[in-house]
Order: sequence, then C-alpha cells, then structure tokens
Amino acid sequence: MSGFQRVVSKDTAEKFYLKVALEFENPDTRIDSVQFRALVSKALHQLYGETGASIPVDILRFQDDTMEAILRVSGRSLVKVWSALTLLGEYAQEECAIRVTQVSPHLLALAVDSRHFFQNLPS
Amino acid sequence: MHVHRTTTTVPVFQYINNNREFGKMDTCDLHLLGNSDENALKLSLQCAARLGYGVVAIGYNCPVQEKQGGDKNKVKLPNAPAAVKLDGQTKAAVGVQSKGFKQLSRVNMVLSEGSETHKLRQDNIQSYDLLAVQPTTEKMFHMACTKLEIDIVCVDMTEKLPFYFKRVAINAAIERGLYFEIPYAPAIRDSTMRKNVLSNAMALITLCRGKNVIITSQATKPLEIRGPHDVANLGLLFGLSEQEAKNAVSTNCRAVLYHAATRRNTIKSVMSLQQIGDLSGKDRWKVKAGQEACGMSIQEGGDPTEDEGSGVVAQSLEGSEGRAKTSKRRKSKSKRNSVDEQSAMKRTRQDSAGVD
Repeated sequence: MSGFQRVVSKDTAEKFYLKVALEFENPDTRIDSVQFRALVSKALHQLYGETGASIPVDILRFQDDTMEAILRVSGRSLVKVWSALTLLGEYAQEECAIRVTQVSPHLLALAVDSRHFFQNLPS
Repeated sequence: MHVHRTTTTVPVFQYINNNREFGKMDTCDLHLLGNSDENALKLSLQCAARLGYGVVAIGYNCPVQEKQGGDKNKVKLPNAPAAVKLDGQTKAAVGVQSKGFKQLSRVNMVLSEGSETHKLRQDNIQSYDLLAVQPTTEKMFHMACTKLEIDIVCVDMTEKLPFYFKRVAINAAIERGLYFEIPYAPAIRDSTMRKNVLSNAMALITLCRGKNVIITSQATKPLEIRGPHDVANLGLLFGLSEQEAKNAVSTNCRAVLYHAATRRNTIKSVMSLQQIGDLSGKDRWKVKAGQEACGMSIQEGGDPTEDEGSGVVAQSLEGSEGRAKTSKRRKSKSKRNSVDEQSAMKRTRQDSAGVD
C-alpha cells in the first residue's frame, strides 16, 4: 500500500447519503428500524404518490436510542426524497419532524459534520 | 446648514456591521407566528437558533377593528415587543458556531380595500422591524405591489386564491424591491394546505421567474421549523433553481432587511440620523470631521457625556432602492434637534447600502 489514492468523481454523483434525525412531539416516543422504513415510505407516498413510494431508499443504519439514520438514495431522486422527508409532519397520529443533518455524495463524509464542527469540539 | 461631501463608505446599519465581520451569509426565517403563546414561541426560537438560522422575525398580526365600535374602543397596535430571552444552552450552542442570532419583529396587516391603507400610517408601525401586507383582493394585491410602502407581500397561500397573480403587478413589485413570501409550515400541517401552498407557490414563481421570493416558516411550534438547507431544498420543489432556492433563504431575506431599514430609519432614503452617543468608536471621526467642515471649534477628548452626546449624525444612502416616506413631523423634529444641540451634520456616500 503506497500512500494515498486519489479518487475523482466527475458528473453528478451516483448515490447520495443522508444523515437524518427523527424527532417526536413526545420526546419519549421510540420507534424501531422497521417502523422507520414505513415512515420513510409513507413520507414519499404522501408527497409523490405511488411513483414516489417506488423510489428505492436504503436504510444503511438506524440507531434506536438516538433515532438517527443514514439513508442512501440515487442522485436522481435525492431532491424528491429530501423534500418528502422535510414535509413529513405526522406519523402514527403523533407529530414528528425529520431533521436532515447532513447530505453528501460520500458515505465517509458523514463521519464529520462541518455544519456543527465547532459544537462537536471537545471543550 | 453646511453639508459636507466625502466619498467614504460608512456602515450604516448595525446588522450590516455584524455580517461583514463573519463574512458568511446568514440564513433567515422572516416569519414565526408570534401570536401564539409565549412558551411555544420561545421554544420555536430556540429551535430555530439551534438549526442554524442567523435572523428570525416574529410576526404579529394587527388587531382587527370592529366596525361599529367608533373611536372609543379603537384597537391600537401595540409597540413591538422586546426580544425573547433564550436559555443559556441555546446561547452556548449559537455562540460556538461563531454566528450571532438576531430576533426581529414584524407586523402583518390584512388589507382588502384601498380605504384601509391609512392603517399603515400608524406611528406604532415604525417600531416594528418589518412591515408585511396580506392582500385579500386583486385590487389590493395590485396596490400593495405598486404603491404601498411595505417590505413583504404575503398572500395567504393556504387557501385557494380568489384572484390570479398578474404579471404587471408582480413586475412592479420586483422593480420596487418588494418580496413575496412563501410559507412552508402549513404544507407540513395538513394535506389540503399542502396542495394549496404548492400550487400557489408554483404559480407565483412562474410569474416572477424565481426573483424576489423568500421562503418563511409561519410556524407556531418547534416541530414545524425545518433547517435552512431543508428549506432551500423545498424551494426546488416550488420550481426555483438551486441558486434561487438558496437565495430565497439568505440573500433575498437580507435584501428585505436592507429595504426595511431604508424605509424606517431614513429621511427620503437619503439620510439617516443617529445619536452620537450610539456611535461606535470607529465612527467617532465623523463628528469631528463634520465639526471641522462647519467651522466649529473642536472639543478635545470628545466626551460623550457632554451636550455633544445627544447630537445627531446624518448619513446619506445613495444608491439605495427603498424609498421611505418619513412624515414631515419627524423630519422637522430631527432637524430641530440637530440644530439646537449644535451637532455636526455630515453627509457621506454609502456606496453599497442598497438592496443587493
């Protein structure tokens, strides 16, 4: 292994990775990964109908305790998935909000959050 | 009165001052509903601060006046309420991001007839940072776009509009530097509103070609607020291009703030007056230079507690687009002040005070 390998991706990115956090009105509400998948598909269905629900969204990771998830979508459908998640306001008769913390074409980039970089520094 | 001309650029508004230092564009949410209860408002503000907004305006609706009430029980618009205090945790979170968080107040006037426009001339309105008008008829929409001295035109997008947007009116509004507001929180609340907001927003954006649009929340609860990047992405859904969508939460909002500042704090958009006591240290030279220009003796030390401290410095705002009509009374009062207290009046050129 000799040093670094440089990777240049031209054109639009094939896949996008989203790091999202789910919030409920009642902070004690918890859902599991299966319910989260249903929630994402409901969000897509309510904004884009059947065609939206057919967009493949991979849930790479879902953390039960913090309700944070990493999603993978194709670059073409990023705007659709993102806006569907933004406009979701309610799940299972409870108000909720999905906060998209990071969006990146590289999964590795989600390891560090430049938007909250200063917040995460150890003091 | 001697008026001296120089070509120095002087920052006029405090807001611009702050922004220059950070060199980063603040994102704004120019409409949180302020008529809801105080606790919810506080939570919403904290949520907005954490999500990374730099400027948030709290909208208050003007109280509706009963027709038969007469002058006795005239409902008066209260003065702009003070900024809500945030808790330490939020302040700390905002602090380490090295960005400020600014709260503004805004007043919404629902108008349907031309005869109601006298409400815009109330004195208390000047105490609010932003002035928005919600026209309910086509005539009023046209009037708001072409004639009224306001900052934001916010049509109620949650219902099917009783009129179509007209290109003439919208072009006039763009020319005059007014901005149209698109709310997104109603789209989160329920499905019918979502349909209406989407269709109205798309209709508006096709007509104004993506210019002069701001996207605001109109949220009552923290759960209805979304982060600035999410909102910019929603702009794509409304039919804006990527850059226009970003502008709708940052640059355009800033332009609204400039427009409002020009409307409120200036005399005919040409001069602004400021108490010498309020001047920051680096602007003190203006007083001195002004006194020299007027041929007055220069007081050594420049002690702000002396009579000089209540003087007024005027700054010109050439190149600014907003045209503010200041009442004659106010103008003459400020003139009297400045003459009485022997303040130095000085005119400087503001190259970039205008709306970008």
